[in-house]
Amino acid sequence: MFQVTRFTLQLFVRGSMLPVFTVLLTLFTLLAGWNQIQRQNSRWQAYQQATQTVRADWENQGAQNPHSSAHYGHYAFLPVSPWQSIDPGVVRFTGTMLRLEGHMQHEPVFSAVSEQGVMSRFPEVSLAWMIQTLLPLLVIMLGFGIVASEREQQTWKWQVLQGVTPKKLLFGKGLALSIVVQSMLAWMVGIQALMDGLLAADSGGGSVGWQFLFWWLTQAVYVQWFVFLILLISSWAKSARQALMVGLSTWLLLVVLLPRVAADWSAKQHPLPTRVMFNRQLAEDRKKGINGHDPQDERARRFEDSLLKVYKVDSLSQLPVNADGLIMQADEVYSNQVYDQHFNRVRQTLLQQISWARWFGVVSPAISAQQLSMGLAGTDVHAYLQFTRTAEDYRRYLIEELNLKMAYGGSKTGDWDWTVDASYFKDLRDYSYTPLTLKGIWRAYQRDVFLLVGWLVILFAALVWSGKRMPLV
Amino acid sequence: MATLQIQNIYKQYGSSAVLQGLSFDVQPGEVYALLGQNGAGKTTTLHISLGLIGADRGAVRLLGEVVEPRQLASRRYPVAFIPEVVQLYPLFTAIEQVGYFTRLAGQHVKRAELVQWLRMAGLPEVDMDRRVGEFSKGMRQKVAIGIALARKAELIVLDEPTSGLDPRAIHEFGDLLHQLAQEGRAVLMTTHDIFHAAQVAHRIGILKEGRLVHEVANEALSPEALQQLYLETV
Repeated sequence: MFQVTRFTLQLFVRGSMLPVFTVLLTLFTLLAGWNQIQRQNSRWQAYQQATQTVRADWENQGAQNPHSSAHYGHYAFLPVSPWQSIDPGVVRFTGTMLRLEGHMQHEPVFSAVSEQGVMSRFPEVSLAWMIQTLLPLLVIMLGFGIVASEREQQTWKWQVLQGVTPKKLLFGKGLALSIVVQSMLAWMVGIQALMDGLLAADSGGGSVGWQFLFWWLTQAVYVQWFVFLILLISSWAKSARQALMVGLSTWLLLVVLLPRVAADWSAKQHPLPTRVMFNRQLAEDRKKGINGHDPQDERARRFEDSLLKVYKVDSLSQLPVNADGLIMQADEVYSNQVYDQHFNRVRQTLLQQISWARWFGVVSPAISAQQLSMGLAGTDVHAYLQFTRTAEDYRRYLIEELNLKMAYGGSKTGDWDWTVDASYFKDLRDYSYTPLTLKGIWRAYQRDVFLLVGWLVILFAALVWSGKRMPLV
Repeated sequence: MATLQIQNIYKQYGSSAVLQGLSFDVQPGEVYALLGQNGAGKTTTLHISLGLIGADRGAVRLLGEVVEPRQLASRRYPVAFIPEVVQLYPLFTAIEQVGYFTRLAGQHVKRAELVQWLRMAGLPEVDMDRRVGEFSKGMRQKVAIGIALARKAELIVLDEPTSGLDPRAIHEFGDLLHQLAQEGRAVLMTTHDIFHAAQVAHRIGILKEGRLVHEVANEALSPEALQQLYLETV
């Protein structure tokens, strides 16, 4: 078998296809890597600048009424994933900054797409895109004739007559193709890693980690699946031309069309509410709670009465606490419940959309590979939801602290001019994003791993069967 | 003992019966030519003889041993096949091709031996390190014969070996076949070239609709008489 592998490797090296693809893929990798690293660096710079400026503004706001501070607000920024240059994922479509304010939840803003105009309709060229879209083309171009051409040229028959089993021939040639393709993958990943090491700003955790190795592994499995697929097609095609046509059609269907169909179909099956509808329903439900800013509000008055009873006093001015702070916190708690109810529905719909889209991995492993790539690069929808969740948790912490300071900090009800010392704001902790751990990613994507590996095993079994049954003439 | 014995072979593809009770044999040192129209079953006969496909009924024996279809690796039959169009690997030299095929057959031989086989096949030494993609059809056939010699094949099977060759190359090729036969090898070939068959073959079989309708010894008929018989038969 190794004689066949060695000879086939020589065939690849002497042919024109491999050198041409090597040059092209190297150039594209350099260009894509450079482009993505520039973007990552500029986002990293903007992130650092923004977080430092916003924190400095927060800490230096001086003596301030805590509720004024709650409206002055704060900001949470999505940090740059160290692997964003490899797979930008959905980050360019989602916002990267959230304004955090009392009484209301804002949406993330400043997505890359909002600054790119019509060009954002085109796919972003990155290492992941090249591996998932272009590398399979190399596999097809090198592999379509690996059996079919040899059968046409009668060299297949000739080799079999030398006493080599068709299975050994098939696996010998498959091993050669695998070596070439996996080497190409390693070469491309190596170029990107080198460029990352030399050019990328350290965005925290930029060193080679398990996550990166798993990313590589999943892409290697995906590419290997394509190797098995083209071997299978070539084994059964009646001619090299037919093998090429079937290979290219399969690539078009599985890599280009199906991921698009999966996304569209899932969005249709689980439609998200429009932004206007979402905000209107949220506002309507919120109206049913306490309005902390309206002294005539019936529910606020009932809350005040309950406070008077608890503290056994006759008027708000006799209270040892500032009722405004407690009313606003009660308002906040209610609003949060309303928001959770509505946002959880949106979140569930989003997760259902992704889940349905990912089930298309049963038909196309390209979908599983794409999802896993974004997940491991930390640029997927789960990372976005993690950002919105942790930012909202932080907003609640901040507003509660400010409301309770208002309530128990020594001010009286109705005293809106009361201020706290400037140093107080420095003591409030800053927002920090916790990315999903490898365990969390595994939990979110184990189905995709099983689908990808399952496909690989199925095609390997099909190849073994094919080696015994494929036509010799 | 016959090198190749074809005994009452039947082969059907779908509803089309390609071979219907075909029987003949090829003796050591004999060149046997199969004549017949397109679709008469010539190529199928060659494939069955080589064990590349199986017959529906009947038996094929090589040096007395029953040929099991698709069992070429375990049996390592001493056979060689030379197709109508010998393409080989255009980016490899003649010597590299022979080297590769001998290694596949489990033989590890030195360059001097490879050169010797190619020389025996009639390829000039100056061409042995040239890429086969630059060769004429006749030269590629010589490389193929070299591979067959290296394989130490007892039976050499050729499919339309003279199609596309110029008269001089046909003549040289005829000499080469005689030489192979003189060394004790059995040669089975299919051809449309009646005159060439009459020139080189010891026996000639005429196939029609999967049956051997005539089998004549070369000395029994002149080329013209053979042509007449062929035209009357098919």
